[in-house]
Amino acid sequence: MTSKEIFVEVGGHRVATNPTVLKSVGIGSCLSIILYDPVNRIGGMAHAMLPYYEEGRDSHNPIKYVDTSIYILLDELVNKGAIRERIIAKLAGGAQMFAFLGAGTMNIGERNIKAAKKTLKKEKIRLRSEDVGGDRGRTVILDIVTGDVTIKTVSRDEVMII
Amino acid sequence: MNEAKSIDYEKIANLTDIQKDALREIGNIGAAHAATALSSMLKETIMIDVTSSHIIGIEDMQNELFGDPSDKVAGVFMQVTGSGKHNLLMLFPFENTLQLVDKFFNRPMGTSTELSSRDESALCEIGNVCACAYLNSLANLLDITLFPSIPGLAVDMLGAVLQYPVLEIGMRTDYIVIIQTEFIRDADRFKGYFLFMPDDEVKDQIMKKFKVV
Repeated sequence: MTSKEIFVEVGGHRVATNPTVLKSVGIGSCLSIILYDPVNRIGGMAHAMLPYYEEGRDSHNPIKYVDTSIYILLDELVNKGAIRERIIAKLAGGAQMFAFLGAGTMNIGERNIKAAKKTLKKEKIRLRSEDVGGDRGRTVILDIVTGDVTIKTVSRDEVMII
Repeated sequence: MNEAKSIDYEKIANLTDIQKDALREIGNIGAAHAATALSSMLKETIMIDVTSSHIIGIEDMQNELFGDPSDKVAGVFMQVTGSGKHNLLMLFPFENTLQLVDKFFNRPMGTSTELSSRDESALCEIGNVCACAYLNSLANLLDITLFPSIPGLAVDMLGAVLQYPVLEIGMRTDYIVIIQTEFIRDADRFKGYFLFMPDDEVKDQIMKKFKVV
């Protein structure tokens, strides 16, 4: 059976049930947040851009922020029938694309990763796996059938599964 | 599309058509100087083509500008300080990046298939020289001070390369002004872009200069 492929755009999110593939292309310092219920096979992906809602408060699109993305994904998963205690998280992205931006400059990627881990901990969601940081862009693909997250980069042909 | 994307940021930014023309004009002036600098480095004519100004939500960065976020590109990024804080990004499709360094080092076109570390330094230097030309012409015109940071290079997917410069401004505002100029060398359909992302301070200076406040 071929799964339907749905693109998750920058600042967007999607929740899907079996069989579907969710995909975000070209993630740099943004963060791809994946929540998944492995028993009911319900999964969601958000493509968040900045760490905290509190810092920007753009109420037009709360998915823009890492923390609110996690809350919204979590609620939508549960609404679709996921069991909260079973939901696991995976993270990908948060790169620092321009190496010269060293000490003293804001590392948005790093801040996004920290915000996600803090929020997951607060919500008692287990972080199952991650591929974060570094200086490479990523394309992130969640297969709702298996819960596998495939990560592709341009630098090598290698494909990583987390 | 998600429902949040129907917001009219142009309205929020409160810019009239004449003001958008003023932004485009600034892009033309800056990019013309940068193209001249690039022409003299490459010893051939680089022309600027179309300049457009966009006022978009930061979540729309990948939608309108240049196509597929998975395209491999080279981006030379500089933060601009002095009067205000702005970002300047020079972008080339990867194929054109190879042509650019071949030309820069007088190698036959098509020699390179990957970038060496020497090529990468050359790209940063090209970015730096073009940025200085771009920013000097703006600074003179607007009577302000603008300096570029040291350049940083990323060779990666377009989406990933765009994110940092856009988000860095997105930390401060919900929408972003992008002045985009395409430059071309017809013979090899060589293409590249300048993206200048001014903050409100320079935007206001531009409006004052063109008397379109």
